[in-house]
Amino acid sequence: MPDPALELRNLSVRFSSTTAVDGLNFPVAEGAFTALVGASGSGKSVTALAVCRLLRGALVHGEVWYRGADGRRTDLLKMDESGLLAFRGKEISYVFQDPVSSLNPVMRVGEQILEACLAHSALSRAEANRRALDLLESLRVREPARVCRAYPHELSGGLCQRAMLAAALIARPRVLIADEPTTALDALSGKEVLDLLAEIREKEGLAILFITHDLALAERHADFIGVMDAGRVIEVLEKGNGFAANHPQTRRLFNASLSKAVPKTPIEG
Amino acid sequence: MKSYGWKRLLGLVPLFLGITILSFAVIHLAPGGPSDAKAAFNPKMTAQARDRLREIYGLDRPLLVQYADWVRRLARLDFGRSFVDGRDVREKIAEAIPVTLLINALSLGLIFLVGIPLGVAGAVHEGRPLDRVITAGTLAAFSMPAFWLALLLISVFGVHLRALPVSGVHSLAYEEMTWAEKWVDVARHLLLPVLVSSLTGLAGISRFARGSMLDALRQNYIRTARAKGIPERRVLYRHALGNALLPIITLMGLSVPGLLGGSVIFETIFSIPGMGRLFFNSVFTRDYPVIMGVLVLGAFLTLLGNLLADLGTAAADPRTKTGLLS
Ligand SMILES: Nc1ncnc2c1ncn2[C@@H]1O[C@H](COP(=O)(O)OP(=O)(O)OP(=O)(O)O)[C@@H](O)[C@H]1O
Ligand SMILES: [Mg+2]
Repeated sequence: MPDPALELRNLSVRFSSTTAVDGLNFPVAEGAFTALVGASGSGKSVTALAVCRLLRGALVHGEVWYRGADGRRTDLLKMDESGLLAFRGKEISYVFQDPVSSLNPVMRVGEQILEACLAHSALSRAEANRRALDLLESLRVREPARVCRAYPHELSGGLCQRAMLAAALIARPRVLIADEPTTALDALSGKEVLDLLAEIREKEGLAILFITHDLALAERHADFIGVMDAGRVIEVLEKGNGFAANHPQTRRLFNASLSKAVPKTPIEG
Repeated sequence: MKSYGWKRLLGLVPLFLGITILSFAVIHLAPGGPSDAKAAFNPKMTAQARDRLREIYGLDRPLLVQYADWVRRLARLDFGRSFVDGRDVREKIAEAIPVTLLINALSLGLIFLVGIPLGVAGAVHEGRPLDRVITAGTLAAFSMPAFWLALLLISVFGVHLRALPVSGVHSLAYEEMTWAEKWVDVARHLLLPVLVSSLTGLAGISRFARGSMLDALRQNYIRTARAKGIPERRVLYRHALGNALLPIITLMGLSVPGLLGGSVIFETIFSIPGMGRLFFNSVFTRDYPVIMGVLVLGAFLTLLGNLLADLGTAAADPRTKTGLLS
């Protein structure tokens, strides 16, 4: 495995009533496509949000080590607010599950795409605008200018998700965390968005942490798959050895998702 | 957008007429009448004299005929003459409007300019001391009887401290004052009435704005905005407030009719000759033309306010625009 761009160590997240993440360890390899899979409620989203401290009303413990382009390592959980602000969107950015509700309904899509760029680079508005249009075009949006002028409700879910992608990528982050970016889309737009993600990773060399509960989907694109259960990563599967699974819970997940890559073994216990 | 506005405006006409029919019927069918009110204070009034009065006022005719007559005059914006002093109703209303309008405009301004920031500040600092203080303050203000507060303020600032005048709109020497002195004089007179009449509304708007802002802050797009690393100021005041203000625009439109509705209680406590007292007195003396005049004005403003609220929200919320254009 290449050096991790992001390494979660002994991460715990507690809400007032529940422990959502419980001593999780997980590396996100530099420039690779890493998937995090697990049943609903296993703590995938909470883990993702904890990385950039986007959870409200949660107690987060542990370490989140980020390795910058210069090789320097920082623990994001110990970073101060202003450091964090400069970090979010610039080094690590996010794409969320429901693109329509994740975009501000009363702000033009273009404005929302530009935001991270204006906050993190010295580009002028016109230059940022140019970059947004180029980016949309590379995401195979046919009329980038129209999409920029539109409000979210005027666009399809697939277009909204591409706009979200553009907003996440415009400041050229090194890690993209995509939390079930295709779940709210129809099968075809979902596949297109996923193919785009894979393509972007190749082109830009950024690390992708792709969260899904669909193991088959993860298998198709990922280099590494972290399998999550009850707030922990119980196993990391590698493409190199055919995603061979040892943990019974992993097999159960594989069987449920009708994966063909791993020979089915009888479920123990 | 324009044609939508006109369509809505036309749709209001039957509604407006309906309101006038209802008001007209209720007022005329209510027990007592102008002649009774006069008779009550005049023991020498005979039955014949009373009938003659009814004839002069045209009250002996069938209600429908009276209403038709009233509408015909309304079409020429003629509200008729007061039964009490024979003066043109328009004149009487025009006399009462300025002071009421001034007080209400000032208190509405205060309500929105202070109430919204208070509520937003509370939401931004949710659960922290500032929010607690604002919440406690607004709840106290909301539950405090305004007339009681008015009397308290009068007693403190007017009677004990002698710092502020407590009745009327200006001093006796008003006419001899310079332009600047007049301003100060009116401001001193209106300070307490405006404060008192805005207090409840201010507390209400601030609670509403707090809820609206909290609602916006819980939305997914706020998480997206935070994930971009843009300044928190922008997250709060561009993303969240932009959405939180939409329902408040509706509320602003709905408060338009309140501009001319005078409060009988405050106007009586502070001796202000405004719309509240005019209406109260005209009801008391069964002065039908004046009552109807004030009601019509109120109905008109209410409908206008509703329309403004809808158009304002439509203009501010991109989601409604496509629906309007088609
Ligand atoms: N804000 C919160 N307050 C309290 N509990 C929470 C909160 N957010 C998440 N949880 C709890 O944490 C646990 C993990 O939730 P999480 O959203 O990470 O699951 P997930 O793996 O992403 O599931 P899904 O596949 O359904 O998205 C759940 O039991 C959930 O109820
Ligand atoms: Mg989730």
